Amino acid sequence: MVREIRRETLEQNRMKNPEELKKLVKEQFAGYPGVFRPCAWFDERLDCIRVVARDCSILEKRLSDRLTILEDSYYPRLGHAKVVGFTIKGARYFCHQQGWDLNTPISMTKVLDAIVAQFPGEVVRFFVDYVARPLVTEENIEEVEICSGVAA
Amino acid sequence: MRNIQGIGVYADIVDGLSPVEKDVTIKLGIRNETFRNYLNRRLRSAVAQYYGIVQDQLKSAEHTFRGLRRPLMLADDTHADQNVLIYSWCPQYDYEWIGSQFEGQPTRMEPLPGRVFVVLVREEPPNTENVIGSIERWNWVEEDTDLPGAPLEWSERYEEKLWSRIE
Repeated sequence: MVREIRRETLEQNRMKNPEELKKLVKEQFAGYPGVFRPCAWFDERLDCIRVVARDCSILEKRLSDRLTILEDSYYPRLGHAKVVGFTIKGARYFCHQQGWDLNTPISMTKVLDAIVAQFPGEVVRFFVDYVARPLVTEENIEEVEICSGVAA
Repeated sequence: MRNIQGIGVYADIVDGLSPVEKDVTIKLGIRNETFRNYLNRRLRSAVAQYYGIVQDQLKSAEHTFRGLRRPLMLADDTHADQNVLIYSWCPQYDYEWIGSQFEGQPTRMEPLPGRVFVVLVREEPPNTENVIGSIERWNWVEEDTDLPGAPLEWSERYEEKLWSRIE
């Protein structure tokens, strides 16, 4: 096994050509049929709530130590919005403060209401009212999934 | 061509650069649960970026930082923000999945100027796989104007810069 790893790592720095990349990605998703759907989930290992509305290359813009906006890396594109999601950081403590159980899905509306209440200020209110709420409403993202291993 | 190389808790192990000595190669892994999260949510563009950028080019990192300046708990560890390494650089290409699940494919894109790619790695205790950290996340951020190849306002985002390739 160790020999295999060493052989493989020697090959790492050669960039894959498009056909190789296509084959690898398709192989990985062979057991995962279906298309991307807008979603929100608790990323346990980085302790944040991620809301993603589109499967595209993402540019993350840090709003504060608590909030990050996700933008389409190649905006503008015809028919697509600039903002494709957002991240709420420090989610575990935030949820604990609200008295929420991290073992059950949490209402997206409750999360956004709690952000405004917990972090008052113009920037946060603007973020919630003009970025987050319209996005989750338009994309019909109603809950934050809690478990890290959703069903395939 | 290099496919996923799963070992133990890791779905794949790749070469990276030591946070201590920039000329020393170390091993970084991506945990099964982390990779599965991308697959479960059908985030094909992120997986294409993993194969095309993270797996192939992590050793091209221009800067390494340690510590996220934001609240981060992991299990009972209230200081988990301190154990995160951040690698940043300007890759030659970006990748994005274009098209349907059947007919689509990863498409090579020219990254726009003023952006850098970052990979977040959680430092791991010594283990039998000799992996020193787990790859947790990768994405683009805006580039710092004073430190090319580094994220915008890196000193506000991260606790410390460990090294830069050119110093």
